[in-house]
Amino acid sequence: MTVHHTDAPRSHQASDPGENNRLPRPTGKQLARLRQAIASYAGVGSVLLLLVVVLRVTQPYFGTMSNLLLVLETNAVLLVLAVGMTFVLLTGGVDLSVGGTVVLTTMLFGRLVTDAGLSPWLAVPVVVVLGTALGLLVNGGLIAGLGLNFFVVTIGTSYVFTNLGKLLTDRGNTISLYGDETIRRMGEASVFGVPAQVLVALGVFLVGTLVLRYTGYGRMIYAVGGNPEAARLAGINVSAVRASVYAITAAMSAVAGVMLSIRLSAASPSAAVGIELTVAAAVLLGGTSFMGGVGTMLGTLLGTLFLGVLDNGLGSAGISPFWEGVATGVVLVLAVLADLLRKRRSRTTTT
Amino acid sequence: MDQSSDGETVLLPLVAPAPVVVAAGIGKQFGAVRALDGADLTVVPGEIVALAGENGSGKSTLARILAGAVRPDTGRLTVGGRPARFGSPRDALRAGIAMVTQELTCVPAMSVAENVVLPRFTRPAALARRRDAVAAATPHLRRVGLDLDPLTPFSALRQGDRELVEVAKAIATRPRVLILDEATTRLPNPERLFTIVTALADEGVATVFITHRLREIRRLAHRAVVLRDGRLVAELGRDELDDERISSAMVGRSLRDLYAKPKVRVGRPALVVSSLVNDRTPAPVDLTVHAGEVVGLAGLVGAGRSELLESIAGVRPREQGFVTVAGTEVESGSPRSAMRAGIGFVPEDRRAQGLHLDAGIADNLAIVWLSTFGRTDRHLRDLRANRAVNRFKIRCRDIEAPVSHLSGGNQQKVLLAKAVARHPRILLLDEPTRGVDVGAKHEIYTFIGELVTGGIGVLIASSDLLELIGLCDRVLVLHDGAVAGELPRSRATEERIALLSAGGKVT
Ligand SMILES: Nc1ncnc2c1ncn2[C@@H]1O[C@H](COP(=O)(O)OP(=O)(O)O)[C@@H](O)[C@H]1O
Ligand SMILES: [Mg+2]
Repeated sequence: MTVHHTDAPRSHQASDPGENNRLPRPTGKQLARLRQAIASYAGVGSVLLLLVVVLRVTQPYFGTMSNLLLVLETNAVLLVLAVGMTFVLLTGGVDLSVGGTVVLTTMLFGRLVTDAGLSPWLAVPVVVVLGTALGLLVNGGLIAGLGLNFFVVTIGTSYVFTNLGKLLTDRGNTISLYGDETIRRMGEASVFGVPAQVLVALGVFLVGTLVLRYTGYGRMIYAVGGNPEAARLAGINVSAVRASVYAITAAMSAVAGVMLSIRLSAASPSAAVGIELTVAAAVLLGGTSFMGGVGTMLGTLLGTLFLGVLDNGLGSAGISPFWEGVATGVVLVLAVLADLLRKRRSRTTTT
Repeated sequence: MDQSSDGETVLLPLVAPAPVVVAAGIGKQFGAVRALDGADLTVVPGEIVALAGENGSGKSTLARILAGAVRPDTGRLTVGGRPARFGSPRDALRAGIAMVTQELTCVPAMSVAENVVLPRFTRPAALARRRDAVAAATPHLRRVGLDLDPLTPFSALRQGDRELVEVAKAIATRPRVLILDEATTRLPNPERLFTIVTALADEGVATVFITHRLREIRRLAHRAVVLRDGRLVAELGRDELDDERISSAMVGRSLRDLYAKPKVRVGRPALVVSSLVNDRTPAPVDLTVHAGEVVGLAGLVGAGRSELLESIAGVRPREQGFVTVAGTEVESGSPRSAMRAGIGFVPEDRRAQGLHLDAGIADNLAIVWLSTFGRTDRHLRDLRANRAVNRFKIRCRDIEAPVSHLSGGNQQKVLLAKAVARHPRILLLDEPTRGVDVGAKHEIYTFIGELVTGGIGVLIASSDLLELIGLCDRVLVLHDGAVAGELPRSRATEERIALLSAGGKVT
């Protein structure tokens, strides 16, 4: 049992016995905690490391800076979506309408810039605000307000959003934005060689991390996911928290929709089809529990990088992308299995 | 009774202070169950009120209404002299009412410190650093006597420590009224809690203390309020708190009448369990139940009682050991084999494990008789259902009405009818009278008496100690998944069972 810590760390307390209000901070405990933290990333972390080492050895091109930036740039959209999805999964839900929202917001962005002639600088906030409102009112309202099942609701809205997006196209065709000077410049923008899209994604990741770790809202998310009844009894407004996370995924989807339009210089109705499963896979690979209450943003970053590196490495080795899909699935199931085995073992040792 | 020997002298002020909470005429209906039927409660600052009553008498419901977790159908609530209408627990917390619930309500994946300060996370934009949580939680953890790393995950704690974290969480909100719903049943050493409650009373904090342990009421309470079938039936002052008065108010008749246990000659072993190990009972369990014998299984929540019964009934796989019924061995993990061997099982959670809620009594009973290639005979089905309704005095509109509409007691009788339909030799009952009113309880006890007279062996797991003491020939006490001791009828007392349940030794 590790519940009562009465052993080794005591020694340093003896030196200042008068301390009653300040907390003893024995280093032994911190080490144990560090070990625990490392263990929780051990799954994806080690597989990712292995993958990087193998690719590094087998493919001289892999380790270059430009390739690294390429990996980040191609997966910036995925990371943004995964940050949003982490919030939903932590509350014990899932948002399968992410791909649909991306399609809808991409097409909306395209229409606003071309037909309505809006400046992209203005179109971005408009699309993000509209997307967020949609997620809050439709998904959030149905799931948290009326108490409908999140699977059913988000599968339904996924169809609705995707096809509303397609209705905004011209008979299903892509809207080219290449003619727009601002969009082209936005697509090429970079700071010290780092593409703007990468910076946006890392910024979103950073904000997500801070919100989850250091705000009351972050604690509420974990509490609602870990035990909704406990959260309610502690005075937390559980339905408001549940509704808010669908607003977050929708906001991230809108940001992702805009990023995608800019990167492709086009609004394409098929660019993000089915992406919600990849997003969920990235988050789950990162150790977030499907049952809610357990997981971190750092894990999500590792999960996303894993998928990105796999894609990049196999792609440049000339291996069929279908194998990549197979590998993703296998690793995901193995990660969940490893987690289960670890829990079983820790249960038998502590009880 | 000598008052001064078992507690400190209590000096109540001569002028009664204004009450901090007044609940008047509170009514609450859950489906067909009338949980509260016009209950009243008044609490003054600094007072320790025991709220007593049998299982299912409505204590928890009243507590949850005071704490804003349940909204009453009727009645008025006044807090600090002003009418209160709690829409959520948050409103009650703001008004200064904190509750430790009967079931644990912490977030397992969070640290102890964060659980303690959970009620403070009400502003989304507020900064919430771990360090602050630890600093805020530490004094309260100290106060309840928990000396552990506040960053330990809650899920790593032992049962008793978990309960203390719940208490720390409640007092961390600095309440005016603290409600403890059977908090002591999960504590190995409740003395510490008594000290805290007494100290809080000195600071003017009122405590509503729910229990059905008479000893604790005598030890701690300034007065006791007794609920029966959702109504207040007695209010006893400090000098009226004797066992006989409290328990007869709880039960509504004398205890001897309630547990009418016939004298039965004990026969040959009906059920033999040897070296049974499952995922929740790591130490091998041996037990025997003879024909005509009632054996009780006591223990705290989580001690492994239900899991043991489930393993015997074939619902939960065994990792090791044998179960035989009158010489026939029962396969591990096969409810079918257990049923064939002569085991009848009434699971704890009748809604989730026992009944098809949307189906009627007739269909619920008919399930027992289904066989893959058999014919369904409507006439026979109805006949059997009507017979069960008469035999068990099930009160229902008709045998086709969904059982979800029945009251708890009547649902339990349907389950009993189902369990004995195929004439078992041994009957396993898990909390057979939880959430059952006193009348139905008496009927169930009478029925158990009839069964043992007919030579059936009965194994009952129950949290109601009076029930175990009143009904059983022997009581086995489980602690942490192992048999901690066995008490014959003559030695089975509340004190001894509680001590063994909490891991103590009985001399
Ligand atoms: N949420 C609920 N849904 C349905 N019935 C309930 C619910 N809560 C309590 N009851 C029923 O109300 C009655 C009173 O329960 P409770 O207040 O828990 O009693 P006590 O705490 O005195 O044991 C019981 O018959 C119980 O089954
Ligand atoms: Mg109760």
